[in-house]
Amino acid sequence: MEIIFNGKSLDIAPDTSLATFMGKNNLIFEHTLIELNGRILSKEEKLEVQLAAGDTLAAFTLVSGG
Amino acid sequence: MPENLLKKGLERYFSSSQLEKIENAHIGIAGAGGLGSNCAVNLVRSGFKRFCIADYDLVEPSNLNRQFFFADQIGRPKVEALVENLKRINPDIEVKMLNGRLTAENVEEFFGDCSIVVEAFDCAAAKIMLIEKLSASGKILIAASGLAGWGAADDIITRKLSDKFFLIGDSTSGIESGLPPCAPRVNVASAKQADIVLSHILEGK
Repeated sequence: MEIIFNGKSLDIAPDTSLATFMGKNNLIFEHTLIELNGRILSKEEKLEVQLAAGDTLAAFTLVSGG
Repeated sequence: MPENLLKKGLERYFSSSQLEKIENAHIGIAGAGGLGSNCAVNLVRSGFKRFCIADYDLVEPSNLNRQFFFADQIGRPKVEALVENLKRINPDIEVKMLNGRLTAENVEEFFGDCSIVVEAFDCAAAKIMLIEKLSASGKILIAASGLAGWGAADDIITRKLSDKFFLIGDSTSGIESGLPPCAPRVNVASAKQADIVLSHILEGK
């Protein structure tokens, strides 16, 4: 199925969970914000969400320092 | 009651209705380190009076390179030392303080009164925790990521990721990559955070 990831079209396997997608793309769970269809997901949602065809997904990995 | 000299000075730059908006805003600051302490100074100098500020740390010598503390405050809780310093600029500020950790369990309650929260943590995982917990709260969130090192200060940009979420920084310059946190770039980021607060309160954007 096709999703939009960080502005680009991407073909992924059907029934891919967000957690699996993040792992495959080396997105560190604790350091990455996920915006799905325009909404930032909570930690619980990041763990539970199944991706669907047509989803628009954006990942923002934050770095430390302040 | 002695005259508030900061307010007297601010009246030269802001109208009374602008000052009223600024003084009535409740601003949350999550962390009182490099970002939080300097953002707070900018906000207090801009006339903001009502804050919720949290930090669990004590002032250390390694903080003095960029944080708004002084050598005689080493060992003091950061939140207390910061409020003391801010009161030298405006003695009338009102601050709800937490000298302890903000967690997924207490962050929503602590910032309950705040319409805007500045994410000013050091650690990426803590930044994520705060944003994820508050993103559905309706509050304006202003976070920072990528401000370590020196040079290329113009790369520290503001990205408006939604109506209520701003992310400031160059996205890549973290302390994980061995870059030290230095005053100039930390100040650029924290000043941009404060400017978004001021702009939002005065103009709603």
